[in-house]
Amino acid sequence: MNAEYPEPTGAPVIPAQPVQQTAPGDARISSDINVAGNAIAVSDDIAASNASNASDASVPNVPGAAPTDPVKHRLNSSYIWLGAIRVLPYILIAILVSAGDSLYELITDSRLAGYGLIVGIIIVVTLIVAMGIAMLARFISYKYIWYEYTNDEFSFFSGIISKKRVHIPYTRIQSVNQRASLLQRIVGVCTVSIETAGGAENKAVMLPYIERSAAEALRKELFTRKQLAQLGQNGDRSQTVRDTLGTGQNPEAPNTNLNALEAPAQIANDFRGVFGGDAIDTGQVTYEYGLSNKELVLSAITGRTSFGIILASIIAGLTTLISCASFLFGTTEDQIYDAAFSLISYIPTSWLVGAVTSLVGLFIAIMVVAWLITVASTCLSYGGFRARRRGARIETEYGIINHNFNGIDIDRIQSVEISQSFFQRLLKSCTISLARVASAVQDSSPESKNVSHAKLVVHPFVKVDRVNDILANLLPEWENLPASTQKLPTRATRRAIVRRAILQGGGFWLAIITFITMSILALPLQFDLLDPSEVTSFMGVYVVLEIAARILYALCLLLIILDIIGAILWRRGSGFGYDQSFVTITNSGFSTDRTIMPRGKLQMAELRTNPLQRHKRLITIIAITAAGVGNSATRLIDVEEADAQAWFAWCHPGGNKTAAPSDNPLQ
Amino acid sequence: MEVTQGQQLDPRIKRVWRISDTIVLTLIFLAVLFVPAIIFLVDDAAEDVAGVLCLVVFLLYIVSLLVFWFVITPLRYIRWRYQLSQDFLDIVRGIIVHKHTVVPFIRVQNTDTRQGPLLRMMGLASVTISTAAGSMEIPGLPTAEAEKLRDQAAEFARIAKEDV
Repeated sequence: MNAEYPEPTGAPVIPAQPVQQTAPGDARISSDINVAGNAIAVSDDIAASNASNASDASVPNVPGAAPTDPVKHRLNSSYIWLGAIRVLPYILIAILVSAGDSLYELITDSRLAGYGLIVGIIIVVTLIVAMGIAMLARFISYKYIWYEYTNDEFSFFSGIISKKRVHIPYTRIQSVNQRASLLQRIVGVCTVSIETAGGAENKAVMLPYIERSAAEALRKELFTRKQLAQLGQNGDRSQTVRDTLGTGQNPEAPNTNLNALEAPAQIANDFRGVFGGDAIDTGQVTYEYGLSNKELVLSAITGRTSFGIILASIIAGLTTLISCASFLFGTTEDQIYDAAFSLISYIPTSWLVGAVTSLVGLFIAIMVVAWLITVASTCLSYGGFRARRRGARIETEYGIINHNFNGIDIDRIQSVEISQSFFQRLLKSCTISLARVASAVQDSSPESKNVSHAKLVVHPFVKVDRVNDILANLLPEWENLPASTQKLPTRATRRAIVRRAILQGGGFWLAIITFITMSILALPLQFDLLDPSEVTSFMGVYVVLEIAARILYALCLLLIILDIIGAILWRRGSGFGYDQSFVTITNSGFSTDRTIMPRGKLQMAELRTNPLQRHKRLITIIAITAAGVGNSATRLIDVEEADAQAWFAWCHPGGNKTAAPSDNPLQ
Repeated sequence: MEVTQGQQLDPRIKRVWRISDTIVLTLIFLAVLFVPAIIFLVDDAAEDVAGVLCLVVFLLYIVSLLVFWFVITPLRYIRWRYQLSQDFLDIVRGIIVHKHTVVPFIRVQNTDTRQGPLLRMMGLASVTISTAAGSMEIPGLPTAEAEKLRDQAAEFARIAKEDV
């Protein structure tokens, strides 16, 4: 416990040289000094960085200043008790499971009434002791968790027995996101994740229980240092960068579209929690927008979960209705389920109809309530949505209860995706998201889940005609994005129908499976394999099954027709286009996905043909970027051969720069 | 790039493919043979069935071996072409589904050579060219040539400039 914390010895080190402040295997710190000193160290630093904000004087740990012992930044002390509280439910469950039997006896057996108080005390004491142990453990490990800024790395230290330290060079930092659950919000802390280049190998670093002001300071510090490191550690320029980055006073962005949840979101955002601290300015905002009431509600109604619930309720409602109808008006059932029906036949039909109607009504009511809850929760999670352009980053934040903050560096955007679900298409709206390289999240604690997403939604629901405006302001670097002007030839239609309605058609295969099942079931009848006594009951079941099969066939037919319409819509709406620096690939249908990739982010390009395509002189084009986990391939099937070859030549470095006008866009 | 253009792999790769295909097929064959063997062990009366099954599986094994040796391997060899230019790597491959891939050197992150036991036996090596979104492998090249290609690719990747 008394190992000394290594200090830079001797003369001041030249700033250009990396200062390794910690020797391997010697990360332990003198406990005595630190228990006393850590609170001061933390508060000192926050005070200092606040001062630097206000007066714009010096910031601690400027690379280029005389190297001092890097300040150890601690987590918030709520790490100890908030973390320990999380253990309580588990302990309670453990007690109930292990002692549940005797507890039950205690409650039911009147002779043992007097012991209730004693048992209650024992349980409470157990809880307190367990809580104490958990807190002690957290308290000890708390002393070994800190982060610090060295000259060219950010370091995060943790672990009591097996020491763990993560070093991130400032230049490798891609985004700093934060997230807070309700409990954390009340306390005023959040979980910060620092993402590096991404991919399965590069995990995001999670810093739990950071005060909100400390998190903002951390973000600002990291990005400033990144900027500095990229410019080279030049004293004069570093000051300029600090000026441009840090001092920019936030111009109040025009809040034209406030929605109903904006006010609570504002309050929730302003409520910085017990340990929140003062807000820290993290850079200049040049563009900002939120969601209007209409956009918020519509995005919740047309969201995927909500749509799924509607679909499920429709299907479930229909099947209930059908089964009830056949129950009531069927002719053969009486013979089949004698026992059940003898009971029912005593009940007047009007009662039965009433029962069925109320059943269906209840069912629909439950579905409506479930749907409303989904809509409300989506509203809450997207409530207070803000997207803004700050310096060279795009940031979004949302959530009334759980707060999410995500940022992405402009050069880390792999592609822009504009997607339009069927409902959005009807309302002439779409969702805009930015694809990035996803980091595998270090999965240690539940509070760190879902911090890293491959896609950053910058607007969940926006009118199509506003898209260009938003992109122009949010991403001015990506000007004049090409439209999908090169359409697919008409001879692709038949292939699309075969592919979608038959090869990949759910309806088609469902019909075939149903047919095979029914044929197998019919075998005993055809070959007279049944006892005469069994024939009637079997016939009854078979007739019911046949009705079900017919309904299924109708459903399959509907699906196939939808597939065919989808295929035709796909052929008509899909296409691709490219100019000097971007390529757009659109896959249409009932819903539309448009992906825009800069040429500089195309890692590979591929043409693919199967024999049938070669026969028709059609080619599948595939553009591969590093977005998502691993990579993501955007493909467009059945492009005209000449167009595909021209695009492929464009993908080659030094190839043609613009799209040749398509010879016959619509044959 | 057409099939007629570009460089071919070293012909010795065909032997490597044949050996590795044989190993895989043999493993599958043994796994499939397991079923008749169980039938044979469990049910003495089903001896005939097991025998017929064994024969069928064995015939299938022989046929697929022949197909892989004398049809698929030569076709695969004929279809496999690569072309290294100053700025990009072009690869054409695939027997039924033709694939034509381009990797611009400006995106290449690292290049390396690999040599498994089979390749080493034949004096071959493979060159892997990796980008942020996966990698392409040129499987069979004489070791010295593979080293040269790797160095060349690394050099091209180093000097490649953005042209947008």
